[in-house]
Amino acid sequence: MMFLKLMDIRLDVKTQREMLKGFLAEFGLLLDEDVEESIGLYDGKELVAVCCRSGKVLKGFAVRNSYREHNLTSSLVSEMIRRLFDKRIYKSFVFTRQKYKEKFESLGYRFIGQGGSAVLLETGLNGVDEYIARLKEQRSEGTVNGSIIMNCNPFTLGHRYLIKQAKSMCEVLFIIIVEEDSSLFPFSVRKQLIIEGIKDIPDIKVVDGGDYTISSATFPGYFFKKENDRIYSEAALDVNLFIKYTAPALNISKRFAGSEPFDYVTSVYNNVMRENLVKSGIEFIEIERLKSDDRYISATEVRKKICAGDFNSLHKLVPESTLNFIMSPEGEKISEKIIHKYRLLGEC
Amino acid sequence: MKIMKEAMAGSLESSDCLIMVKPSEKLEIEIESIVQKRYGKQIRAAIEETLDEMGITSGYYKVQDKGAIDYCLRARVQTVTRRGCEEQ
Amino acid sequence: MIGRSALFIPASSPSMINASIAFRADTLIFDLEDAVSIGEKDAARDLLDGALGQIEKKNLFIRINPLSSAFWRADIELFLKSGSQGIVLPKATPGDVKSVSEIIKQSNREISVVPLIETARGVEEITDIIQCSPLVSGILFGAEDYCLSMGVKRTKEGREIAYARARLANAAHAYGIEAMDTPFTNADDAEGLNKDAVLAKSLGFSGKAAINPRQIDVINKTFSVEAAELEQALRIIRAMEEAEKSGKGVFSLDRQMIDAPIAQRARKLIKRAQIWGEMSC
Repeated sequence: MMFLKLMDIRLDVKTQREMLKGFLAEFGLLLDEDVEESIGLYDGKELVAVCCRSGKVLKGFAVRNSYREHNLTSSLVSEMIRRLFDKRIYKSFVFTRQKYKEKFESLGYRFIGQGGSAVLLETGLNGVDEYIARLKEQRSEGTVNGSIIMNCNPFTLGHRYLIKQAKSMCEVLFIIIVEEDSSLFPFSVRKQLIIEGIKDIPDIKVVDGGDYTISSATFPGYFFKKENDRIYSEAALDVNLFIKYTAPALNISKRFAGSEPFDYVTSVYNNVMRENLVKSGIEFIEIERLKSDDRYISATEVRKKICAGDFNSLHKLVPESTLNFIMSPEGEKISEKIIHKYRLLGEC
Repeated sequence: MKIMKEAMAGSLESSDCLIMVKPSEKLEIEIESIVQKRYGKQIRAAIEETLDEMGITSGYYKVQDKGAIDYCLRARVQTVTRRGCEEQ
Repeated sequence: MIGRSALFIPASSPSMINASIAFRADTLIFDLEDAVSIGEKDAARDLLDGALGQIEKKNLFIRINPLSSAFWRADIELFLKSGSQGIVLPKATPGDVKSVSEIIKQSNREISVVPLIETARGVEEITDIIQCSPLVSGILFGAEDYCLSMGVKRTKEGREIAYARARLANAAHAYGIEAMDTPFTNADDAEGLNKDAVLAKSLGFSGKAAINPRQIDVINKTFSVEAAELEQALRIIRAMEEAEKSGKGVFSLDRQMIDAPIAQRARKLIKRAQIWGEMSC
């Protein structure tokens, strides 16, 4: 029987943020940059337990030793689930160390995958089973199926080239789009531009990636582009989920990816794919990217040109459909966002 | 009344239960309880009875029971049902 | 009657509601206000609705949400349905007490309304608050919010609430109702609680609210009728009965004149002792 008070730890208040960092540090935990919200349980004025949230992912759990027997995690998790429902998010993930797996399973979380020493569990409505069921509607039997996972922020001639190359090596190609909306071009736009950009190529199916392919739950490091040890375990988790759920659901035997000469996180990801996919009987094929004027075509290059106001040479990088969108009123709004963001970063 | 949207009520604390609902064509009740073996039947009966009293014939109910006694189960079913039946 | 101790139980927590049966508080106050977040008021009402029918205990009170909120009508509906004995009314004004009393007097049972006095204005208007409804059987002081309304810092010693305490205790005695003191917020400090309770009793409070079951024993002990006091009161009543038999209006005990107020005080004391268990007669 505990009479504890649950309160927000305000991350925008410096003293509270520092206090939280100190509390987490006692347990060997860091306050991740992507944490949006944090709650604590207080016994009187003393903080005794905390939990953090970034998007749908709960993390940064810590409970003082003398309070362990009271199962405070259950209160923290319940409150977070409640808050997510208020935001119309009906599921949550826990990304935690192997040794805490059972603890969260006892709170109704279901283990869905593993990478290194980290495990991913989920609870709520519309879990991985629903995702698989949705994928199976697009399944293709009796054909050699390949897949490529793409963000396309936005869709370029480089993407189109990769898709054409990949398609030449299989009969049906699934393009799995990263659904996470943390890119400058929103998911719905990215998807639309892919569909328009490849409509002349037959036997291509466009699939939404959901929470299980390169999402903030499976692979937060992908969106933060930070070099650290966790990138390996996150990448491994993501690839394992692909092997466990996506590939069998869609009957996929080949996975393609563009070669990655620049980006650290993506090159780690490619290495992890090479190691793990083959072991599971899925062929991994890296395709060298397309160049224009001796430079690799990339979405980053496109965004830089938008930022510099260099619209005249965009046609060398993107197909007509993408160019038309960029020049449309809706595209202009996104261009403004790009300029704003790049200026803040001092890259424009 | 009919479940129109996703909703939740309750908690995972001991002596409580957490219930989530979403719209569904038929009535589906999924129960996971720490006392499943001994009280599984009673728990289901209490939930079905409460839904019957409320006139609910469809919806997906996911119940995670942490040892809630009868009044608590019924209260949580009532709350989550009312929340799920509200206008969007 | 509220008694010596009144324990707040968060109405949102099944485990605490279940455990409340075992607590030795004279009154349980199921809290729909501060202990329940805004989005959970509906859930707490459903829970309480189910729970109150099952708790076989006297003196169950409900703290409803303030009349300035959107929740109080539903709270009162629940209260009327529940059969509980009393309603604790937060941030009470004379108007609030009147409105609530009007609504609940339709029910046929005996109901107590206990205004929670937690603003400077409430302290000043205490006589109006007590007098505006016959259902007011006691008042409860809330020092935390009171200090906010005063713009003063709340301290453990409590000098900042000395006036409010004295004023409320005085008003309660003037109108013959119970006065419950503010809870002591540090549940781990038993010594501090004891001091605070002794001080409140010396000022004329009849009991004290608790926010943690750990606090109940200290509070009950402090506000219990002392054995010597009880003995003296019984002697007074016996002497009075004898005097009445022999037709004497005024009489003395231990060479002291016993008049009506002293006799009345003795009767009240005996009644308290009977209700709260120091006397098994």
